[in-house]
Amino acid sequence: MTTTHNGHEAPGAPATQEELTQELIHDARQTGPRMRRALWILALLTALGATAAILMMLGGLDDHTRWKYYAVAYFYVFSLVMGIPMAGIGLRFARAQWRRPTSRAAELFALAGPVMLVFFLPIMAAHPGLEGRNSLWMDWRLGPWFPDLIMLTAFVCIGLAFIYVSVLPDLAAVRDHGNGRSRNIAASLAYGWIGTARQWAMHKSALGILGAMYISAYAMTHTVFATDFAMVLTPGWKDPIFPAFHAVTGLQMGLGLFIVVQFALRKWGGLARYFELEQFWAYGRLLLALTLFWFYFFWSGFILFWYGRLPHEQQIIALLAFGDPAIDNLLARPQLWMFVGAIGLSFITAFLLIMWNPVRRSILGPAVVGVVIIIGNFFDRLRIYVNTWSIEQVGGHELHEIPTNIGYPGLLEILVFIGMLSAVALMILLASRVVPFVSLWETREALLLRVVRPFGVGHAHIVAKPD
Amino acid sequence: MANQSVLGLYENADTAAEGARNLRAAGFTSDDYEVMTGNPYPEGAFGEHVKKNKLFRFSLFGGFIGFITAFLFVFATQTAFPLVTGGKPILAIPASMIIMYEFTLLVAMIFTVIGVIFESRLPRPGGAGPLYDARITLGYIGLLVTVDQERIGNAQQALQSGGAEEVINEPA
Repeated sequence: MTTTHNGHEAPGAPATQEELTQELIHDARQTGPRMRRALWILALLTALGATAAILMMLGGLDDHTRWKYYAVAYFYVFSLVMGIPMAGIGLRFARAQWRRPTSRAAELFALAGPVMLVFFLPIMAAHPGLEGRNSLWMDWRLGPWFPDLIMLTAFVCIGLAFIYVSVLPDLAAVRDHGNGRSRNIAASLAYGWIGTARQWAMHKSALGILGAMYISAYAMTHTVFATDFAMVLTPGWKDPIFPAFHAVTGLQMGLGLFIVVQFALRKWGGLARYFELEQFWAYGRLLLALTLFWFYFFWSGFILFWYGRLPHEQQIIALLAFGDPAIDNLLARPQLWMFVGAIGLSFITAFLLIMWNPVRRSILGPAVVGVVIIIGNFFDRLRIYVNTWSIEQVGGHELHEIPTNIGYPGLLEILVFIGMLSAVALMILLASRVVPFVSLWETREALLLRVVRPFGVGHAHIVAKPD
Repeated sequence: MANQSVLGLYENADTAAEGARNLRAAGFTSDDYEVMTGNPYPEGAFGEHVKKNKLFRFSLFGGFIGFITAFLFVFATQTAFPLVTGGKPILAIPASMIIMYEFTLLVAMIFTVIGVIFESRLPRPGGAGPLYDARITLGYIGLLVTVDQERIGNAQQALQSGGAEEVINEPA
């Protein structure tokens, strides 16, 4: 270990390209009994979740209020995982060199797309339709099902195209040096990649174009989902800031989960030398910014309703924040407690922790804040979707009654929730059996561009920027 | 006369650059050889000429096709079921923007993937090819020279004198 000028541990002795390739491909090939058991358990939970979703569909699609906890589960998991690839894409655009070992782990979350597409079908079918409601689609008969399905399909396909292009050079490395089934899969997917200068130039352009498309699709998918699956169901809710809030909080909780995943890969995945303090510190700063954004976007929307004080605006505040003012007992207002959980964990607690540099400048600190944010945003999606999907009123310019029929999730809804999370984890772990969690080509490139030189009494990293 | 290929394998970028210099000194142009690496190097690091790729044209063309398709689609559905909403025109562009945006993205993505495959000259029949060496993904650099049989000897010599660790000929 070397020490940098500011006293931090530098990465372990720089590996050669050969060592790096062997180490990462060897790690990727490891499928011990524990991993095998984990894969089977995840597959079982996925199957249970899918069965529960089918059983719910067989139970009927006519009454959308039955689907409120499914909606919470779906939009929570969607928000949690689909923003994570943005950490890889955005930081590559920003040419942040420190993100190199972490990009792949972030981009692999694009594989959650097909899971999200499959579990979207029941909630799409359960949508009560637009008749008598205000929507983006005016009175278009195909809305919201058709455009939302097209939007999600485009988003998922862009994510898959992006991750495929990104892993292409590493598939070639596994084809060349792997063995067994993973080698065969990699060989067929590598498509004859040989790493010519032309192919690398194409690779760079494709990552740029598909990355930009992913960002565009991310924003628009959140916009149509937040509108069609929350605002449309709520008479009197017209808020152009809410879709942006939905997208930004998705990024915050995604980054929270990504930091936790990095912590797990460091602790139990044998990748401590790739997920270091430098990465946790930098992601901690981003988490601080996104936590501030959480409040900024919430406040920007809230303050209009608060000052407007029109009856329909007060009803929206009651629905999403403070509960029915006619109920004196605060404990009997579920909306209030969901709101307290959301703002208390997603913003107040998270901010009070991550604002301190010693917390950010640690490995445990950002991971703990990540967990707090993941839980806080669960309350946030709960307050948004369980309340809006409990509304039976159709049409009108004002919500007449704050719903009290919130109830609790049943076994099927819990199984769906666990099944969705398991399916996402299963996809990522299966992919990691073929390509490593750490991008080989990006880390190898970093090795070429980065040297450690004596500086003062310690050492400093010198990073070349080739273009 | 038929073309033949020879591969020079170099352990690092400096020796590969030397090999490429030797090739050029021996009269080969940058169109005669290809550089193969396991990770990206700055463009032209080995004196090679990388043609400007045209991937963006695929994306733009795909986006255009998607946009037009969506426009025709919303035009067809809105005129097939004419419903005046809020006094707006039947073919209301603002209300159609989202679906146009979705189709534009979707088709642009499909064309981008086609563009990546086409412009990268993938798939290669027979996989990586007979003159590909797995050491390239361990950090070695390959200089693949493809010239007519008459000049192949010169190419071998230039690669060898440039410090190639190994020079591999195309199997007969």
